[in-house]
Amino acid sequence: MCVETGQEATVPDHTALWRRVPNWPHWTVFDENLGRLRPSSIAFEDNQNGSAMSAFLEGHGNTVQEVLVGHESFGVAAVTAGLVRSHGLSIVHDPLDGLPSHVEVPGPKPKKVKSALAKAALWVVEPAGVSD
Amino acid sequence: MNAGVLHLGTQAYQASAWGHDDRFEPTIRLAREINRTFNFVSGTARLLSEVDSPLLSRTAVELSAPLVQKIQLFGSAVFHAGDELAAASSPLVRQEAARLAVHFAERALERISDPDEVAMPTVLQAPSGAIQFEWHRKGIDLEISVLPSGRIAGYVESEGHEPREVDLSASMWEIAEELNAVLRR
Repeated sequence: MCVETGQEATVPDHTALWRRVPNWPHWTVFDENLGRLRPSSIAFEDNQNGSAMSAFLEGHGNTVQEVLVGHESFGVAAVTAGLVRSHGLSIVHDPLDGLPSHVEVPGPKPKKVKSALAKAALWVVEPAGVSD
Repeated sequence: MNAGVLHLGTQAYQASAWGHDDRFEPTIRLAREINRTFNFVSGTARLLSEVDSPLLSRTAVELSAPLVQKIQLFGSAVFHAGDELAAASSPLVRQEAARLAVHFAERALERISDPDEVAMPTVLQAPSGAIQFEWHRKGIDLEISVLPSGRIAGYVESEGHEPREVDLSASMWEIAEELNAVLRR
């Protein structure tokens, strides 16, 4: 499958978006309301270099292990494409060298949106050491 | 355990030294031991010297040793969550975070007599350099961010209410109800 940078990803709503979550500084919280560890809302901010929040599309050419190369202690949290779109965000292909599944998620991310994504996110891989 | 009391708000204490009184020597020793335990000698001085707080303007605030410990643990969470947290944050953010930490401690002092009843927040550093305090308990999600600009932003979600973002730079009153709830175990 060949996709162009900047092309809208026309993936089904149930497709998972993987977001890398560092363990240091840690971006995780224990949510007593949900009874589980989850990413903080700060894990769903845009990059400080001005680019949009990045993620990876499940099933689009990369395993989760490949996504974590060079970031071995990070975790990976998943939200669905449908949830992302329901908050008015886009999913745009941004393939990188060796990471064809890489996407950007442009669009405004007020606290309400970041919080909704953080609370819905499920771990594919927990960040190292955060549950100790 | 009644380990004595410690006077805060004295000139000596604000000058980064413990107020000295023979009656309080056991507590001072305990406090110093706590400081050593948490590698926090400079942190305590910084926490209490960088902030303009009503707590420090009182002339005879008496704190039990466990409560002193709790405040220091709180400060420790702010300042020693990691070297990265302190190193990557601007002095202004650290100062505001310290002010916030003391503010929380004051609220705990006002409302909660048993320090073991104070619920500590998770302290995180955002990519923006902001320091964020989070509580997610009792059906409330409360996030307070000290931004690099020095502005303090709050976000609250609670059952039966619309989520709201509030500017807390001048006052915490808009989240007082939720803050009091999440601070209490």
